[in-house]
Formats: sequence, C-alpha cells, structure tokens
Amino acid sequence: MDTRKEKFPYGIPGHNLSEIEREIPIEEPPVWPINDKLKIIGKRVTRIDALDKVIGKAKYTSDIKLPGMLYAKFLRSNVPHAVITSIDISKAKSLTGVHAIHLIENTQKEGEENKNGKYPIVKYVGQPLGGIAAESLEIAKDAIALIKVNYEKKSFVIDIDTAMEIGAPIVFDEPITQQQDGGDVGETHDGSKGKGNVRGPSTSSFFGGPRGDLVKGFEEADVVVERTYRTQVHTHMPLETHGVVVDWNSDVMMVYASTQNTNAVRNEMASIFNLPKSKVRVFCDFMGGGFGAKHSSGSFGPMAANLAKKTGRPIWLMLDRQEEHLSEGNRPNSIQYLKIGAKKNGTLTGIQQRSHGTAGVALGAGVGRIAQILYTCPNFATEQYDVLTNAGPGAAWRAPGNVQGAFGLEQAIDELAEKLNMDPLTYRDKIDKSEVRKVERRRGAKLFDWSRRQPAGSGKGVVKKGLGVGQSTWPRFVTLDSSVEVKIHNDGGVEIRSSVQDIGTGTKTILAQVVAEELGLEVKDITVNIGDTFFPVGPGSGGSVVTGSITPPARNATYEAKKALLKLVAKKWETDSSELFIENGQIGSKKDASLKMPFKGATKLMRTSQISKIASRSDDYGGFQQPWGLAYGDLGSVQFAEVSVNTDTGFVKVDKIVAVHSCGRPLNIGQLESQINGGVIQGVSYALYENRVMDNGTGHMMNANVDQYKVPFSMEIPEIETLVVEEYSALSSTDAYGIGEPANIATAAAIANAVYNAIGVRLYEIPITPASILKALGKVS
Amino acid sequence: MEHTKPNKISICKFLRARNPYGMMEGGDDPWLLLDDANTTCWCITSAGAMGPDNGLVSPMHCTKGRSCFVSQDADVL
Repeated sequence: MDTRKEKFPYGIPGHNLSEIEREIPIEEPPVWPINDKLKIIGKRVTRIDALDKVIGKAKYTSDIKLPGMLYAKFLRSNVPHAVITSIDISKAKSLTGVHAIHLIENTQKEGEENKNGKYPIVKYVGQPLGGIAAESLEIAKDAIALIKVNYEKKSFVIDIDTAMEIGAPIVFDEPITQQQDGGDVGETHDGSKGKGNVRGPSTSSFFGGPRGDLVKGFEEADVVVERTYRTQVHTHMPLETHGVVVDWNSDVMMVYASTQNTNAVRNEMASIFNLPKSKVRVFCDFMGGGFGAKHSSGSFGPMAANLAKKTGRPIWLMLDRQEEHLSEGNRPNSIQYLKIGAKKNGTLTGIQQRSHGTAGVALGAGVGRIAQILYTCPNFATEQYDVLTNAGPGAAWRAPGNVQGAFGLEQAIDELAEKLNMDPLTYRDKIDKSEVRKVERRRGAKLFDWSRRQPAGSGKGVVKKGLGVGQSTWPRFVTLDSSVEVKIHNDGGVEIRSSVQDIGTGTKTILAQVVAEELGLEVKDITVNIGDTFFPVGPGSGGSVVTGSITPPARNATYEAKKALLKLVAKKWETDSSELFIENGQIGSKKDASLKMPFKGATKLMRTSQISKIASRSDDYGGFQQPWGLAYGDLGSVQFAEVSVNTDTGFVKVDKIVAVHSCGRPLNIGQLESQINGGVIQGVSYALYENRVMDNGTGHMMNANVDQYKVPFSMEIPEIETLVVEEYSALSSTDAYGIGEPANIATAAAIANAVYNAIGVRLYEIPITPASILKALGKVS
Repeated sequence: MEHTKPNKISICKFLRARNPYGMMEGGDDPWLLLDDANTTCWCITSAGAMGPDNGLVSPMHCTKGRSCFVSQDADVL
C-alpha cells in the first residue's frame, strides 16, 4: 500500500494533548504541528477582502450591470389557495418599456392530456406565477400591477393546530395517508393525527433509529420531566436577498448568483434548460449572507433565464424584502413534546420526543437529532411530523431542526437538574460524555463566572438577573466533491481557484492562509479566485462543511506545487529536493545554510509559465470510511447567557453571552469570532424577537418587512465573549472544521434557561416577549 | 451511527433535496432519506415544493409512475 505512518497532535491543548499515529496516503503532506508552532494558521489574519467591502469596491450580484440589461419582477399570487382560471396580460404587454412576459404554466408531455390545468394551483400567498422584463424596475413593477389574475378560490389553512384537525382544509388535493407517504414510516402515536395534512412520523436518521425500551426506561426513572415546547416560524433575512443576473448568449449561459452553492445552481440551470454543464457558468464573487436557503436557482433563476431567452438580453432579477419573507424559505415552527426520565443519581433512563412543525407547503419541519445524540441515554425514540399548511415553503436554516430541538431539550435538562437538586452545569458534567464540551464548560464557566448564579427567582427588585446555559452538538461533515487548483506562476504569483463560494464567512482568507502557510509566504502573496464554476468543483456552503472539505485539498495541492518548484531548485543546486524548504519567502536547504533563493527567483527556473496542481478532498485519515461522502465527529459548543428581566414591563435584555466552541484546528481566530458573533445574534433574535405573523383569515403574512418583522438593533445585541477550544483529531491535512451551524444552536435555549433563573417561572415558547413574561408572572391574563 | 446504505430508489432527475448533511440531486442515490424530517425538497421544473402535477414533492413521491416523473437517463425536459 502506498501509505506511510506519521504521528499527529491529538486532543485538546492544555487538557489532554497527546499524539496519535495515523497511516496516511503517501502523497499527503507532512503533519502540521499545533497552531502555536505555525506562522499564519490559527492567527488573527485580516480578511483579504475587507478593504474592498469597506470602500464599496466589492461587487455583489445586485450590483451587476451589463450592457442592454433588463430588469425583471415577479408576478405573485395574492390568495392562499386557488385554481387560476385565466391571466390577462394585455395591459401589461402594451406598457411602454415592457420587453417580455413569462407566465409559469404546467408542462404537458407529448400525447398526454393535461389534467392539471394551464397554470399551477396556487397554494400560498406570494407563490410565483410569472415574470416581466422591462427597461427599468419601476416599469416592471407597474406592469405587474396591470396583470389581472382570475382565481377560483379554495378553502385554506394557515395555522398549524387547525391544519392537524380532522376536517381541516387539505393543502394538497390528495390527503396524506400514513403508510404511503410517510418517509421512514414508524408507528403513529395518535390515530387522529396521521392523516390529511400531517405526514410522518420520521423516526430515524443518519444516527440510527429508536433504541432501547422506553417503557422500561421510564419505569426505572426516579424523576421525570414532561413538557411541550413551541417555537415560531423564523424567516430568512440575509442582507442580500435571493436573486440572479442571467446573461444567456449563444455560447454560454452566464449566471451571476447570490448563492451558497455555485455548483448546485449550475447543475440546476443545466438540467432545467437541457444544457451541458459546460455551457452554464455560475459566478459569485461577493455574497451578502446566506443561512441555508440559497442552495438553489429557485424560481428566480429559471425565470430570469426564460426572460433572457425571450428578449435576447441580460436579465437582472433580485427579490425585494417582502418576497424574501413570503417565498424564499423559513425555519419551520415546532410543537415538541419531550419526556425525559432519570435516576436519583442523574443517570438518564429515557428520552421520548414527538414533534409537529410546519414548513408551509413544503417538508422538513423536524426538530433535528440533538435529543438523540447530545446525552447518553439507553432508551430513546422520536416521532417527527410535518404539517402542511397554505404558507410559504420552509428551507434549511442554520442547523436545520436542531435549534428548535435544543430549545426543548436544554430546558428539559435544566428542569431535570433542578428536580435532582443539582447545578445545571454540574449535571451536564455527569451526563455528557463529550470531552471537548467538558473543557468548554470548565473554561466558559470561569470566563462567565458561573459561580454568581443564584437560585431561580431569588433576585430582589423589579429588574431581576438570571444566568443560564445551553449546549449543542453538530456533526462534522465533509463533502468529498471538493477540489481546488493551485498555480505558481513564473512571475512569482500564486493563485488558488475553486468554485467554492465565500458567503461572507471568510473562505477566501482561510484558503490564502493555508496556501501561504504551506509555501512559507505571506497571505498578501496569494490570489484567491473562487466562486466560479469554470474552476474545480467546490462544496456548497451549508452544514458547516466548507472548511473541513476545501482546506485539506487546498493544502495538498499547494504541497504538490511546492514539491514541483523545489525540484527545479534542487536541480540547480544539485541536491535532493527533500532537503529544501521555503520559509519567509526564501528557499533554503537543511544541509547547507548558505544556500538561499527568493521564492520569486525560484519561479524563474520554470520552463513553462506555471505549475498547476489540482487536488480533491480525500477520505479522512485513520481508515474512517465515510458513507455517502460524509464524515462524522462532534463539534461541541456551550453557551452561557446573562439576562435582565423587568418584572413590571416584561422587557428582557440579554446582557451577555459567553460562547465556547470547538471546530478542530482553528484557522483564523478573528473570523471564527465573527461567525460566532453572528450565530449568537441570530440566536438572541430567535429567542426574543423574530416571528412570522400570519393572518389566518387571509393567508397573508402581516409583517413581511424589516419594520414589523423585528430583528435586534445594536442596543439589543449583548456583549459577546467567545472562546475557541483547539481540538486535534488527526483526520486530515488541516484538521480544521467549520463553525457556522454550531454558533447558532444553543443560544435560544441558554437565554430561556437564564430567563427562568431570573424570574423563577419557565417559558416554554419563543419568542419570549414582554407579554409572555407578564403572562408567566400572572400580571396579565 | 448506522452505516447501512438504503436500497436504491430511482428518483426523478428534477428532484432536489437538502438536509443538514448536504444536497441531493435526483437519481439513484437516496441517502438523504436517512433524515426525512429535516429534508427540504423542491422540483426544479416547477421551481418549488409542488410538482408540475400540483402534488407534493418528496423523494418518496417523485418516483416512477408519477405523471411528471423524468428518469435519470432522459436527456430532454
């Protein structure tokens, strides 16, 4: 076998750091030491694109301006459930400046009678029905207002509780029938719930299915907590809305996209328009945020392309904020029943979970797997149901399901600790087997000064202080289909290319760091060209996979390119290239200290204009074969929250969050802190503010804006302190992983636990509002 | 953690699905069914969670026999 053995750092510095021997493929680069001994990796390196962003030089998709470009606007439904009988576009068509109208129609296969009608059935307010391309956005909007859609209205249901009732209006004409439509079907818990709009239950996952015997588990329990928790619908609010600019000329369909996944958009557009993938180019240089809902070309991609096809001109189609709220995804709500049993000594004996959630007309409203894997418990079962409603579709949202699940689980664990007369942190030390979270609890408690915590509701005065904790786990995924090309040019320039996109988290910078560290150069010496599907395929930015997927091939390709360059120098110096190294921009020799050559000088030895090396993500070290391109590990986090609750007004202020996280080998402390800050702020917003409000009588969202859809402003953002725990697992050439999802999972739970500690009354529903606080305190009915 | 790969199911080439673990394109490899409760699905021809036949889009539904089904091997829309 073409392998070699090497010893890798293993464990947590300052806690249990040791070494582990791995047998790795012969072509892999030598092991990196821990970060303390590296020059660029793990340091607080400034983003390479920071200046461009600050001075406005960075061009986002909505900034794209092309010669002859037209502006497009969607026609959307304004009723929640209807059959469209006709659409009159005559007035819009004749408006000056309108170039094309494209209506979404049901496709009819050759020889088949189209039983589905000419137009799709409307199932929610905001559903796209068509689009207009015009010389300006204003004209396009005016033209949309001139279109007359005639509806044959149908009964509808918006509210999740109503949708579950027998006799509720049916969202899809064919009611859900349990056994046929229920995914990985388990047993229904309640005969009245498994029909109509209710689909499921889902009982198993990547982590397996039910385990043990719940009945026995609860019989063994001395203490039981049994509660129902509710979370709200949380819509996507990235600063940059969804959208594209499509320039479809005779050779290539060029798509400028605000996307988390250039590769997926390319593949979708190629499939939809029956083009070879090589004829579709997706480009995303700068991206204004995405939290799970930007992995697709959506409806806007095909609409822009159809309008480009009809007009022969580039089409700009960016959604406005209202459209973003209505149709571009949301974190589904949840109603979670949770029953947890434990022995007197705290040992968990049983966890039972049952959830219902609605992702509107779509699926995926489960509550994740955190209850299944965070704590050791021999007896576990979950049943997770989707409830279909006439509302906009859900989408992946930063740790899909797990944020909802953590809100319930981490409150229940706190309640259990209280029943057992144990400190919540001490109790987690007992039932949580994760070594990294143990370190996180210890270090976080010290920074946060957990010892200040007083018994629940014991504070004096109107404003009561409370401290709480919540934890999370996130699987360590990687995508094997992650590749880069590294080029060393003969003018001394170094370039890295990949289709992977930087959604604002700093992927460009960490790639530059990895290449610079390996080549003994500075970050400024590296040019990063990514976000272009004409480059080697990169992973989508979701599931916190990017860092763990793309940095090992980046290092490996750089290592190969370095070896090729050093061979040229070795030939000139008449020595062995294995004796050579690059440090501080100079090539040197381990044998002869007098031998020196600048990196740029070495590139002059090249007989061709460049050295080019491509590498893809390989399997994890240590023989960990990954099913379906996945790896598995535990990215732990512990977050501490301090709140002040005004018991007269019900106002809750989150004063401070201490967020302690692990992500393998940290690559850039500043960027990690930034991403954790973002996750925490979203968590605060989820716990206290954001909430989609629907009018059950009309099916309209009542706060589809940035005014009444409340997000925190600067004074509502707490002091945030982060701690990143280095943890080496010796699984790849960089041993680094992402932080996107973990940063967001535990915050709402920690805040809810802190609110309970403050007022002594537990709230089982978010958002926690002044009204809900006053109600919990019995001050309003 | 189970490592058992599910049986092959031919899923419409126009189905896309995303769960916490990643994305799936239609075809023969339905590993995303492992976490059905956290998987969002969409049809790229109808550009949404409803198929061209107005029905629900899901890996369990978007299979041979559905009127709008298109096999992985088909090369035309």
